[in-house]
Amino acid sequence: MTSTDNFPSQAANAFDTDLNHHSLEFARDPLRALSELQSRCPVAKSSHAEGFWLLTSYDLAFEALHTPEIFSSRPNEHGRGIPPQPGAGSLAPIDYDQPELGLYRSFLLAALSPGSVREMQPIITDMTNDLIDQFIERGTADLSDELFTPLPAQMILHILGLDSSRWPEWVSWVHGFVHDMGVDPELAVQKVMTMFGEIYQEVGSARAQPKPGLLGELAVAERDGRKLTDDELANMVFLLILGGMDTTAGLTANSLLLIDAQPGLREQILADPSVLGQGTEEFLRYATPVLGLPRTVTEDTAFHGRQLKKGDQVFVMYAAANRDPSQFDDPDTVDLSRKATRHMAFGLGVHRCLGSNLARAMFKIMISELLTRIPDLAVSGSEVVRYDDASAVYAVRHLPITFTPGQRKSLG
Amino acid sequence: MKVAQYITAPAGETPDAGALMTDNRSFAEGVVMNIEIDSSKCQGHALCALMSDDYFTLDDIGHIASTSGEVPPDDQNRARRGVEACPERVFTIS
Repeated sequence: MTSTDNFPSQAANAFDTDLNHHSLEFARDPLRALSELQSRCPVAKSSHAEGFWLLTSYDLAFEALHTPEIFSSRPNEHGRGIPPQPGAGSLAPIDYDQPELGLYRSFLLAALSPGSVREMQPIITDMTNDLIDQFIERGTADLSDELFTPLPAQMILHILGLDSSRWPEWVSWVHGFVHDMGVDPELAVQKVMTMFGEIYQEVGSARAQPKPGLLGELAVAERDGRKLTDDELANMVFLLILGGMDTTAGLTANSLLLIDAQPGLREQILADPSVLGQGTEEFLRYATPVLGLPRTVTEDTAFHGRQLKKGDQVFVMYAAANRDPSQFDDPDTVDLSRKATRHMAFGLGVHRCLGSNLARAMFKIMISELLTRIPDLAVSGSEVVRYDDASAVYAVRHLPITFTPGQRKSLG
Repeated sequence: MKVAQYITAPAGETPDAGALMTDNRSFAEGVVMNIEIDSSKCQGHALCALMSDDYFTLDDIGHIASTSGEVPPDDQNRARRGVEACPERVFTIS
């Protein structure tokens, strides 16, 4: 090892930590644990699971994400996840490197481009207002259950051309994968299998006859002279649903908690909802729902004073990088006028989140419609329930609010 | 000189930490602003278009469509906002 200068004598083992990203303790306040690691040791090794590295500084995360030949997105031979999760093989495109990565992404980029998402805005707005209509006369609501979870779920099903009224089933399957894997692995695997079964059925029917929506388009689309196989298509649809649902729900809930806790934010948004144009980037930076994603080391590598071994898992912590004081002045303050667009909430490099444009649009519409229609909403703080495992998505299971009842927009 | 009125940053606007990997020297001296675009680095974050009020344009998959070149004086402020918005470091100002 060459550059141990940053880690003076008292800290021969200072890069060892017992951080367990699946633990309840971590889920309660992940940013505190990550910030502590960032200031002490931006390349740390956890002894938990089979052992894995954590990158928590902006510059090191940037470097890893832009060196995919060393930091591969391919899971190692034990499977995807830290520790490996049962029930799912490699998902496309997220678990691939070039050239497959580029091929898979080429099937999806246009459907989720800024232009395509702009055309979806009226639908997102209608769906949002329909959901708000369901509870606005009541004076109470659980925003996670009644808006932040169903809106993105309905929207991704709508985009795919699937029956969006069945969103509760899809959400239950996705939650099995995202939130319950550590809590009840058997049930989680069963839910994932059910979900894949459903997807294969839809793939089959889309192959049999033309079907409106993205799934139907993907069933017949060709790139480089070939169509997607059933397995590739099913994997892709699984990932679209997974990525489309809980991440945006997490971002929006995390942000609403901030808006509730800091009245100045609510005042700014109500005075001029267009502050959410740039302000959305600040919420993404500060309230990052996907705390980080893993990479696999492809060959023995010296990396900033640490010796990484082929096959090692490296957790690139986006949420920590987004609070790095060397990149963002006063990083623990939410400032909607901050030019915070260089955050890595959507990852950086060749794996930039394909749904980023859609996520931004859904977030802006949900927050602005909600605050405009229910300006006095108050979070019932003691009843807020976070998920017990923040390793995949840092999100809120229950977000109860009270408010002065209002009027429905449509007769329903 | 005519360009000078466009080169002053709006009052109260201070660059973010880490935002200035571009060389603003010539900009500050009122010389012509030239932007190099390395589109091979673009990953489609679409933030240059958002932050520059669409001075930078995107293609149909959301990647940069604009090409390198000189920026008209009227557009320099919004172009600079777009440049500074890019998390992939696609742009260089010279």
